[in-house]
Amino acid sequence: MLILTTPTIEGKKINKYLGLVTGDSLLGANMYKDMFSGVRDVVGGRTSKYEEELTNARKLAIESMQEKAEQKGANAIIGTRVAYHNLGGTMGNTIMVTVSGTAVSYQE
Amino acid sequence: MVASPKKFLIEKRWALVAIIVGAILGFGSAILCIAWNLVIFGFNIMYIVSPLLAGFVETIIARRKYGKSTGAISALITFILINGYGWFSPGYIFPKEPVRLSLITIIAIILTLQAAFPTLINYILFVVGIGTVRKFIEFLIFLPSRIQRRIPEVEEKKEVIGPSADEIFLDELPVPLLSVPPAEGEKIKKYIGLVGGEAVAKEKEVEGRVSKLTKLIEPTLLDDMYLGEAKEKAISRMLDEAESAGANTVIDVIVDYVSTGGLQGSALIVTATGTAVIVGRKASNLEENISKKEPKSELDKKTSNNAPN
Repeated sequence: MLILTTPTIEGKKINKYLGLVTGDSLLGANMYKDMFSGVRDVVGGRTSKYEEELTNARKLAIESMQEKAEQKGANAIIGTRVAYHNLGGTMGNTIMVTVSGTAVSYQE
Repeated sequence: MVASPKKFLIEKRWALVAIIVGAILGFGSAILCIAWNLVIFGFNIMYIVSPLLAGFVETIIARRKYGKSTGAISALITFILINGYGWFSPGYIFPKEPVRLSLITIIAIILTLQAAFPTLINYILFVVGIGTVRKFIEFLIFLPSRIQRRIPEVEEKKEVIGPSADEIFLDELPVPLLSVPPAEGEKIKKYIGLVGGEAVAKEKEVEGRVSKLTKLIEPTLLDDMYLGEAKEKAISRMLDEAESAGANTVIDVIVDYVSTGGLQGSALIVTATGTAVIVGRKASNLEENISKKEPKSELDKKTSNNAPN
């Protein structure tokens, strides 16, 4: 499936707009896990583990959005926006990744 | 809020069973400890062992059957029970054992409360506790200058001329990245799809003990974060993802920043998302662009090998 952030597909005709689709995922809600691995990575300079988790969270969110679009019978999602939110709280370090876009079917 | 007591009981039956079993086990172990007179450093180990055992058993049962933790309420019940016994019981079962206030008792109280109310106690320990220590250090450090009525010196900032180091690499790319939908005059041959990259901005390591202490109380400056490096990393990762999918540039790029952290300190997450595409006015132009990968991969190596110093 084609997932684009642009509002149009150049050179292709959009047959039907199927409506808004969204997806989201959460990352790192466990304080102790963060305290002893994640944040030490951040503070100690080895940031790769946390960044990997972030990438996974984004991929999960996009996957769930894609599933919803497929159920609607779309073959592309346009105008996709990826947003990252810090939920904070006393436990800290909870990041929410949300994606939203418009499911469309276009002439291939 | 509860629809009916009966429904509430049925819903929470495993949580209740877990709490009751935990409390019984905890109190039972306390009686055994007294019966066998398990005393270390003149202090019966039941004050630590029993609440921990109760909380442990309760958590296991609750996790298995109820699905989530009940917050070690039985540890608290056990603690109150054995302390109540120690203080108020007439002592007809076992010899009376009064609780003395000692370091071990205080630690036991903190452990038990922590098991029962993790969020609240963690907040007190990590925010209130560390905050108090910080204020104290701040007071100590600025005490000499306060006595001398002098303001601590602030370094003057140097002015930056021209693009910063992390922005130069963007100019070296064969095809420019765009933050807008397709540029006019360039033909998009194929859409590849959504690509993205994330990087966490490191805080600069501070050298020396005294400056490490002063670092705790100074407000964070923009210079204290490796923000440019993180931005470069995020964009490089996005480009990597695009190139591995066969695209030669990314359009509609959005660079975003999210603050994270909380109790343990702060960090910034830099993210870059965009649409990977293949553009080109001519087919030969495209071939040329794809073969020109060298500068970027070199730069990527440089970024990943950049050790903190």
